[in-house]
Amino acid sequence: MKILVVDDSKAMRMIVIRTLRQAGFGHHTLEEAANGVEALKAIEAVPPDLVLSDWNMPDMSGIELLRALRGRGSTIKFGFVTSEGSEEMRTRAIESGASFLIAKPFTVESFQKVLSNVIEARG
Amino acid sequence: MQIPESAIIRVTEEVWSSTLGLSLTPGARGTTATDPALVGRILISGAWRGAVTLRSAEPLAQRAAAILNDVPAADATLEMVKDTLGELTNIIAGNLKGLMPGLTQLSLPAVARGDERAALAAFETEETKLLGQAALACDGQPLQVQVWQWA
Repeated sequence: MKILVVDDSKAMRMIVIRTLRQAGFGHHTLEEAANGVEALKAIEAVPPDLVLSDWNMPDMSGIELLRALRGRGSTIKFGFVTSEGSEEMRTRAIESGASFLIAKPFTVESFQKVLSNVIEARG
Repeated sequence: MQIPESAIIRVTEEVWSSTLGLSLTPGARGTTATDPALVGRILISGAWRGAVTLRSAEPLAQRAAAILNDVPAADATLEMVKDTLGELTNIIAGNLKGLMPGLTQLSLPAVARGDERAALAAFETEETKLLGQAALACDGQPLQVQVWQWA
């Protein structure tokens, strides 16, 4: 299974990937993109099974990426990992086709709890 | 409206602990991170307009960047340090945003060091009001979080 991590902060991409490994999802193929535009290109080239995206990014935000994917008929599983964790943002995310929203700061346990319903964990 | 110091401390401690695995202690009131220091800023727009700033002593910001990028502190580049401080500011602002009324959204982070800080300090004018602040320290290195509202 392939997971694409999208965030304009390299440090945050590293934390997300580290947390995925610590949460038991390290056996999946983990790839990175720095914004929505880069992510869209990567998805068109080789579609991942899950996209974990930040919300606020330059060039193309996470919600714009999600809407672009759904507008093209893509059914790829999509979740937000963002500091925009209000109920309003959760509602916008779900209404736009996201499966979940993990608020920053997150923990290994929060990744396990949310992602175990979406992808297979090991260890 | 005022933002309680206790709320700013709670959010900042949680972000520091969860993201960096580091503990914070109360800083002396009125103290700020003196040079060399960096400042991160997130603007908040929508039903409520203001900003959240995070000022950190440079050695502390460098230590945070080293932790997140998994490199020795001496190998943390300025780009890594700015990226890290921007992300920490973003997470703190995102959590403090819940205390503001109405629908709001965060800007992308801006981070400045040394002389560049003048550009970020532009909002510290008569047109803005300081709603709350907290001074903290991490192993003796100071950091300060401030919440501003456009008048």
